[in-house]
Amino acid sequence: MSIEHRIGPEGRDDDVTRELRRLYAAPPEDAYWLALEARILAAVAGGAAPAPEAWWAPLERWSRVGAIVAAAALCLAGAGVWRAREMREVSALQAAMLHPNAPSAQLAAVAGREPDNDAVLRDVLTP
Amino acid sequence: MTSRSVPPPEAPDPGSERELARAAQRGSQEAFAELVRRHQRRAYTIARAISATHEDAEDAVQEGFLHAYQALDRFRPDQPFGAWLGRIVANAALDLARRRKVRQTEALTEHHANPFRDPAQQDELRRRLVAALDTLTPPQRAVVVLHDVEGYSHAEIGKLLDVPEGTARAHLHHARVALRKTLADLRGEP
Repeated sequence: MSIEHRIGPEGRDDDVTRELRRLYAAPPEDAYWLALEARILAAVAGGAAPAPEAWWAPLERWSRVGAIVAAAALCLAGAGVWRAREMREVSALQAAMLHPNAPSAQLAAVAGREPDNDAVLRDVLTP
Repeated sequence: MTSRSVPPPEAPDPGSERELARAAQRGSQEAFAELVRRHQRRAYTIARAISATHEDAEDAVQEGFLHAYQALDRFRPDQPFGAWLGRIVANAALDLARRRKVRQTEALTEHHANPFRDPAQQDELRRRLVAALDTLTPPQRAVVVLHDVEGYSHAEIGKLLDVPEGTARAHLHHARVALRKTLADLRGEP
């Protein structure tokens, strides 16, 4: 038994190609594709949910903005602390000047950065 | 180039594809269902080219879509969804083909009469062809079907199967030689 042997222009065997097309033809019925779609969606619904977005992904997205905002907030907070401290020192200094006999603790407050030992010594020496 | 046997029902609009992909990434089941509707035929064609049987191809399509769904956060909407999905489905089909140690040849229940040939010869050709296809490696079978049946170019096949274009050409050559050799005696060739 033999069949006609035809080779196509690209070395393709026409008989084989024709038969391959029949073998590999996708089902033509719409019902088949509806059923396959339902099967896929059921598998998706029954399987894992889409990998939830990694917890760091939003951080990555907002990292630049976040970094800028954080830096600005840090600057503002630092300036606020510095200003409050300055205000405290000024008011303490004014109080000491208005009341020279005030307890030396006020001076200690003004010189907040001085070690405690210095404050104690000044306290002892103050008449 | 040969026309594809199973063209998509409609050429997907890249803009709306992007929107659908983005909506699916945000968790929209409806958007993902629409993507399934649009791409399942092409996904089947790819999976069927690699798989030994229709049933394996169905499993590969299902697995491919499931993998795609789970990996949606890694999809970049600026690339075509179909190409991305195609690679995932091809990988799923190749994995499945490798896992199948014993492959069952497809039952041929449907008979297509060919008015120009003897039906007995046709049946014999088909039987031999199925047996010959089973001797090919999954990549060889995929290349010969995607190229000769579906009309994909070597470059497209290379991208799909993640192999160099030259390798796709080599697979095609070896597959054709193997098929001809198996069918030679049917044709009375030496």
